[in-house]
Amino acid sequence: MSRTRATRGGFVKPGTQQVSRRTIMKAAAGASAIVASGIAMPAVISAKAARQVSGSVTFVIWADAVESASWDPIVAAFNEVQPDISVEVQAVPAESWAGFFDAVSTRIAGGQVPDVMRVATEGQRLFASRGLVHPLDEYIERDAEELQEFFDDVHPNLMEWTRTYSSTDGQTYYIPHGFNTMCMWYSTEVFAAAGVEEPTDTWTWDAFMAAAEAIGSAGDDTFGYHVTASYFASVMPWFLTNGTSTLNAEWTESTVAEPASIESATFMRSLVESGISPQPGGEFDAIATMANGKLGMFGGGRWPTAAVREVEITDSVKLVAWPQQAGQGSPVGWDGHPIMQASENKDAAWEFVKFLASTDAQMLEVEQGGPTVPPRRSLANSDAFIANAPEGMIKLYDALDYATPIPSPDRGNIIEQDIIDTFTQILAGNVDPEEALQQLDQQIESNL
Amino acid sequence: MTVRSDIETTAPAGEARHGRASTLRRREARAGYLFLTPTAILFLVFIAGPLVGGIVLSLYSWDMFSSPEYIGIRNFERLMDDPQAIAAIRNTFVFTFWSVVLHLVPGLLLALAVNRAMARPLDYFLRTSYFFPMLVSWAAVALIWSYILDPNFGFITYYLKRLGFEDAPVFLIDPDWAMPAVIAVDFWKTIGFTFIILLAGLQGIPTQLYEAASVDGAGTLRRFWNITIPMLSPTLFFATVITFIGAFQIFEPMYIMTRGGPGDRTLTIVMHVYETGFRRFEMGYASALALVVFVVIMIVTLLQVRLSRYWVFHE
Amino acid sequence: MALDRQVRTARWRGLRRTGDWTLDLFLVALALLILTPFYWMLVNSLLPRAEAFSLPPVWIPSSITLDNYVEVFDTLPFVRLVLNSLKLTVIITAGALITSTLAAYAFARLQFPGRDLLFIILLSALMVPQQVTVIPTFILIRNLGLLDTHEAVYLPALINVFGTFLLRQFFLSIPRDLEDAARIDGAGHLRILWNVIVPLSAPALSALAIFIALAAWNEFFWANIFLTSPDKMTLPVGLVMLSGRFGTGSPVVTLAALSMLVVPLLILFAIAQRKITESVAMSGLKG
Repeated sequence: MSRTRATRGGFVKPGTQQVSRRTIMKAAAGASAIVASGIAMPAVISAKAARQVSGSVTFVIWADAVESASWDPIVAAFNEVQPDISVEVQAVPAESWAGFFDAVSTRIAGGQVPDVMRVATEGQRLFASRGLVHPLDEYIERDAEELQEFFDDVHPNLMEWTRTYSSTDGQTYYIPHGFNTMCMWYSTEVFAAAGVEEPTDTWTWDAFMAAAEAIGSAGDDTFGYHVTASYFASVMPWFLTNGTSTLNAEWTESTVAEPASIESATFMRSLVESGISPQPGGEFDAIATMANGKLGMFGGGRWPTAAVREVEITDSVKLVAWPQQAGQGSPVGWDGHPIMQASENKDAAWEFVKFLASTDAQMLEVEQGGPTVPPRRSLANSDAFIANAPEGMIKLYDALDYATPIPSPDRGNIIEQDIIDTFTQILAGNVDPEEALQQLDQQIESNL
Repeated sequence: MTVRSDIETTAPAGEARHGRASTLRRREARAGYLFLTPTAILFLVFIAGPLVGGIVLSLYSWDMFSSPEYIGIRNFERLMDDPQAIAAIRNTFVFTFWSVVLHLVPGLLLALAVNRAMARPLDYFLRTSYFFPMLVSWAAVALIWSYILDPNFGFITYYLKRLGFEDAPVFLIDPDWAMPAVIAVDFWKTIGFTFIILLAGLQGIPTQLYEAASVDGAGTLRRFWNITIPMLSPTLFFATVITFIGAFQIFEPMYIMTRGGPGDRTLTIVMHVYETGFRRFEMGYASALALVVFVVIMIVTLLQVRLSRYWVFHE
Repeated sequence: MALDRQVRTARWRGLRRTGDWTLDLFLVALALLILTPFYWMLVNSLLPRAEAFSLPPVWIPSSITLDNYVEVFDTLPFVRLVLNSLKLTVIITAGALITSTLAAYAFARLQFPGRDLLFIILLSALMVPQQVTVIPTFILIRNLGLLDTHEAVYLPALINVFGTFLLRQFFLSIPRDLEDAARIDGAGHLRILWNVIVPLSAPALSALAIFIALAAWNEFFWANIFLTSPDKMTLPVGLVMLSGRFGTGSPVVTLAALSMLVVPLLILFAIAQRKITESVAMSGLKG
């Protein structure tokens, strides 16, 4: 344990003896692995570094305190391979992607461009279309042999989507990284208490509705499921499992007013109307409520793991694929690492990007309990990822087989805000779903 | 352009001999410029400089990432048919009206109520309480209120329901209630500002004036109108101007609590500037919008300054 | 004691002669109402996440825990953040008070060509929406070589137009005869300002000090954009670091951090309050 704390220099106050529950559990999860990778691994990697490059690289990420602290060991490991490249990790704190993007775009517009960034799907095409990022194809070709092992391990869809959606000219601008898909998180205790059978990965909306109703009938303050107006975590999975989406596959036309979309929205509203779900427009803490035995299900990717550990319900929570109406479905959003066009040290930047794709770097990230699923299948199956987490984590990786990239055109941020706004009103029952979606359709069209 | 009343401009110099007066005057002018130097330097570098940058930007089309393209006054022409801008201006005026009224009237009443003989601990407690919400940042306030107003777990909704208001709206997302809710939270958070300013103003009024008036047999109301209001008028003027300027640029509570929604119900003009610049990446057009805001505030403030001649009393 | 009684008589002012209990009661009730959200914040910051935010609302918890506070210290370099914020707040408050006092005196008391025009120009700075100057300001700071330094945050804050305006209005309301004695003694403007105006304006100056300190202490936007090294970060930036990338942070931990953010402000305010009260006593006695 003391070993973990010592390696977490960066943002975490060193030397304090107070260890929180969260830290203890995180340490317990990764203790052995950290000892293995943090000490033994670098020696192995350093032998691999074929090309020695020098220079300095700034790497900008959106991260909270815990996550940003996890970068010291990663940079240290990188320096075992490339001792002459100094890396500065700039963690930009933000409450939302929008807030992060404000800070970053101001810096970029003001001429302070990082060398490497962690860009979520929301920004990837935008950056590519504005010429902010440098094509990686030549580097990939040059180091093909070295990267083969990565391409063998990463889910092929992630590479495919990166080429199709994160680029407007067919070139590759990003190396895909951690991702999130959507599954249903449920409490086995709440299900048992309501006498409801646990779901299977092929369950239907009807089965879901029956389970949620049975749980919600326990009382006014007990809910079967928490439906939100979130674009990624709620609207998209309910759309996709009904065979529809917000935009067409090319992201050129809105499909929110299609009959299937209206059906999904009406279904979501019915969850609030019947009292299965709490009302929208507040700060409902789904995880704490589940810990109190008053909530059966909520939707999530990898990110609720830390909170589930915090309220100590890891063992009684499981993941199951999203219930389906027309078929299986889940959105997917992933991080990508580009080299910025303005970088004056592209060779060094590339070495860092390449290192971030390595098993060693990703293992270190997984051990720190990052909020995404690793892109490498081997790591998604590793103990570090699965242990001390709800059962069924691997289903998030399996969802890549049938997932749909979250539609993120250039003005995706505006569209997302309009979608959230509209669905908040639909869920609250302030508007008729069909009319609201017709209007949303026009709003989206005007921003494409 | 005279901000001060004209009474004092000529008075002191009149009696002095001519030569001495001009030496004094020159010395005074030198002192004036000297005292202004730090402010002037900082103003030129950190305010005027970036403002000029903003004005230049308003003549360009710029997405923040590619190189800017000069388009002349096209950004200003575009303003004419931007329905969101029009909605935003309307919302801004509604907010500003309520903000100024609520801050000045209850603010003054509170200041008057606290500014009287009372036990010291009570006095201390009241002032600290009224000012307390000012201490906390908007981000914190918004977080606290979104919990308090939560339709499922917020205590306000809970007590409203207990009181029989079963259909209590979900304030921050209800089209009819979002703006009043934001106005109310803003009032709660910032009333301490006018309260403290006006209280300090009240305390600056020399006691002798009241004593003399009492000796003359003036009643409470007459003392209020003849002493308090005139003596407080510079402070009232200040509070009005500042509240107006602040309210017209209101941004944070909407940005954090409602995102301008539902629909565009709480979209204010500066919020629209922000969205245009940082969300739509139309920095040039955003600058043009911002300059219009600037001009509107400028005109209204100058009007207030003009009108102040008739009611602001300067010793 | 004697002074105390003096203070009270001196503060006998406007509306009524004696204590009106109903008004007192109303004022206290109002104060409690205003404070309720903070009390709620405090209570919930002392509960474990699973027990917080329950209904009916918990007003007197049966048991409390300091876990959330420990977690804040554990996750953030809290002391360093406080020191950084404190440093910036002190520099900005002291600096801006000095520049505003000097400028306000010039505008309120001195005659010189162009004075009123300069004042209007200065005032206009308040009317520029910040959003439009964000990028030019960033470019400026970068060209001055100040990125990732505390100077980038405090230098632009040393000018306080609002403060200049506030003080000017107060200086204008100070009777001129109070300066005459000093003027006859041949005192320069700096001495008049320091010996006469400043003591008389203590309520306004302390109010202004509170406003400036508040703004500096809570400032997030610029600190977040200019400061990139973790060891330079300020408290509000650190607080946002508690909320994770997908809103994964614990709300009760955030409440604990917020509670800690407010405490120093409360102390500062209490001190400044006393200053206000005392200075009123002074001016009352002198006048």
